[in-house]
Amino acid sequence: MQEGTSLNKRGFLLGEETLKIVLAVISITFLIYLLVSLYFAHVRDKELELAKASLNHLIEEINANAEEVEIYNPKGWYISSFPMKIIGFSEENKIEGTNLIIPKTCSNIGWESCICIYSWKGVRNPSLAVDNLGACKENEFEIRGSVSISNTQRIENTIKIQNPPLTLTINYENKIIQENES
Amino acid sequence: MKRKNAELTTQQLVMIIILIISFVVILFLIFRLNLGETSNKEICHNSVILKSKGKGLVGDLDCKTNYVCISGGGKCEGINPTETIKVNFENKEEIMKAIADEMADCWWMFGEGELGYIGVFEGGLVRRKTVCAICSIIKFDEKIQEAQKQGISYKEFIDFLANETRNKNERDTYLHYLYEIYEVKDLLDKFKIIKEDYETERLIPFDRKYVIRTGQSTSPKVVEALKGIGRKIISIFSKENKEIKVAIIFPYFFDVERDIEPRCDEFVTKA
Repeated sequence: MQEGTSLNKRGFLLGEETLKIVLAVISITFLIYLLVSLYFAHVRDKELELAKASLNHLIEEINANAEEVEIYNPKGWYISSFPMKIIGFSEENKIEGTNLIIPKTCSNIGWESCICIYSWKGVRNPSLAVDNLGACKENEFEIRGSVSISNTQRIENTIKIQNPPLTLTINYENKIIQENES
Repeated sequence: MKRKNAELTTQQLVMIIILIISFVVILFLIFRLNLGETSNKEICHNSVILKSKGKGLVGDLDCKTNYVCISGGGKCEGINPTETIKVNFENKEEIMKAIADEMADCWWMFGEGELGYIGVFEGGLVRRKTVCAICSIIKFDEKIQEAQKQGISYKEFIDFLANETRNKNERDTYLHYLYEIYEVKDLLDKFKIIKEDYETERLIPFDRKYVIRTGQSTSPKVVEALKGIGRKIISIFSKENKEIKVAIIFPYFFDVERDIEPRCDEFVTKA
């Protein structure tokens, strides 16, 4: 009888220790998750701030009739004008249809056209990407450039900030902004 | 009784007018001082110190590119300046001094090569990269362009940096402050790009847009390359702990469309 009680006690202690370890692991995992989330939220905020500054600079330079503007950051983000054309085409390269999109960030305020700088990760639609993490300003200028999304889809009116500085040429007659190739 | 009241009112009125005029004069003087410009540079300098002293874990850089119009009385086309520096358009020295001052401000803002502002996570432990800062974008007005059609040469500019000081009372030349070198010959021995520009007498025409760039790199290739030509190497943690080496990219003034080594992976300044 005595032996049995002692065994029970040992078993109870084992359970307690396991519970402590499990709780510690859960807490540490949660803390790591919290720290990683905080870090990435901070990085996102920082990049969004850079995007806002770059967009403000672009609009100011357009208003100052500058012919060329250099965009230095954020690297890897996209600059697009909306309404944006999404072109679907067949494998023989024949255009099958076009779709015009505008992000809610612009349409909700009543803007008919806008220029946005945004991070495009994890979502298929660029307008959702703008709503998720982007900065926009009302503007009538059209961005000339295209990016392929897949073998059958391409988006127009978009340039990627790939190897900064990205030099943009502004044509005031046609209201077109495009990458300087030289 | 009524008269007494009226006298008091006149006195008060005069006082109020004097107060308003004084206030307007003080306001005018404050705006003339252009304190906003200084504070942007100071904010940047403070954020660099905070980031450096916080070992890359605390603090964020808050530095804005300064859009400068060097003007002989006219407007700079194709730029929306945040600062206009007035110079005598016929005087090359004044123009070169304006550029040199911007370079010196840039060097001061980013810690004179003594502070590491690449974050431990961003460019230190996790990823190795070259981070650049665009301190200023500079344009010249039409009057300068017309008066100085050829522009100046890098030879003239480097010689100016070697012979002139920031203030009359100062002994330190621009060249020593910026590159820690007194003689042009030593500068040319250490910096390949400057040597090319100096010896070929490359021109700085005033109808172009220019940039003043500085930076730091933790990329081992860049650190090694810069070490070879005598650029300063500091540690991201402290001078004693050489665990992560940071190469300092000294400030230089060049055409915005010119591609100068090392290539920057990232720009930390806000447009």
